[in-house]
Amino acid sequence: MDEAEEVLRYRTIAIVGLSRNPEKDSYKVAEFLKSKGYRIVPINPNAEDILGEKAYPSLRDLPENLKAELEVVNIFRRSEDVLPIVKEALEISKRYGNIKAIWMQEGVINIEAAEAAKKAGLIVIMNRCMMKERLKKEEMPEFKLDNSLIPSG
Amino acid sequence: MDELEDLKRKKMFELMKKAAEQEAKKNYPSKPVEVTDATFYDFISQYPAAVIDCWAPWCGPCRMISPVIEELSSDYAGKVVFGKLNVDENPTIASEYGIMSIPTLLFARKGEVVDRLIGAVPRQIIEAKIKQILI
Repeated sequence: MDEAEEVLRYRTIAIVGLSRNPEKDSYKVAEFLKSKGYRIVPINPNAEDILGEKAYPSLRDLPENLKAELEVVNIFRRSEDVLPIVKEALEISKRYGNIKAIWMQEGVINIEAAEAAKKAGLIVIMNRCMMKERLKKEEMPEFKLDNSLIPSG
Repeated sequence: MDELEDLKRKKMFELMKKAAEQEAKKNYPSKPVEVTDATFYDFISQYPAAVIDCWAPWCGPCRMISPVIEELSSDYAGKVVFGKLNVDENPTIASEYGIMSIPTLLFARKGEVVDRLIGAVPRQIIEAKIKQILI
């Protein structure tokens, strides 16, 4: 199993820079991931909720239970804005130990951030699209997701 | 004479207690038991205190926590039983308990899941939770 496949098997994904605009790639990718049963957590300071999920201004603003459950941070931001996001992710990772990977979307490249995440033991996928990678792996399990069962506390 | 009877009774009680503890140890596995969708409820009902490690073979942090669970199952033999549930092979229980992040440890008391821990947390935290809610 390659690293991308391992990452795609985790279920709880924060999408940093997820747009409210259905025309944008971030929206399309998030919508696709949600349809496959992933639990998506929108990070966007200008939205209340996106795709029916409550949005948070930043990773740091996530409630404790989500910080503990977060497994993957998927980034749709300009390359030069990535480092502070990864630093926030690493803070959460240090405290809760549950983030497994940083995924920078196609066109998002930040070597310094990638190195920092790798040094902290995280898997880093860079300059690749999560939706395209997931589509290549149709044989993967689709998660049955029932949001009502996810504990909120 | 009464004193002697008393001593006898005390000694008897101690022996019985010891035997009961040994019996409990025998019935409590000292290694993690593989649990499935089909056996999960029987498993948590069978023992008054159980911890179930929900994991997957491809998950790095799950592999980190696995030896800790092995150690704990031996250290707490007779008091707490430990199970392992592969979430890929057992999607029903995983979905029923809303497991969206692995590893997740489910803590069950008398057949009911009462608490959980998420992520590859250190041994002390698992032990603290066991002491707080299971024993």
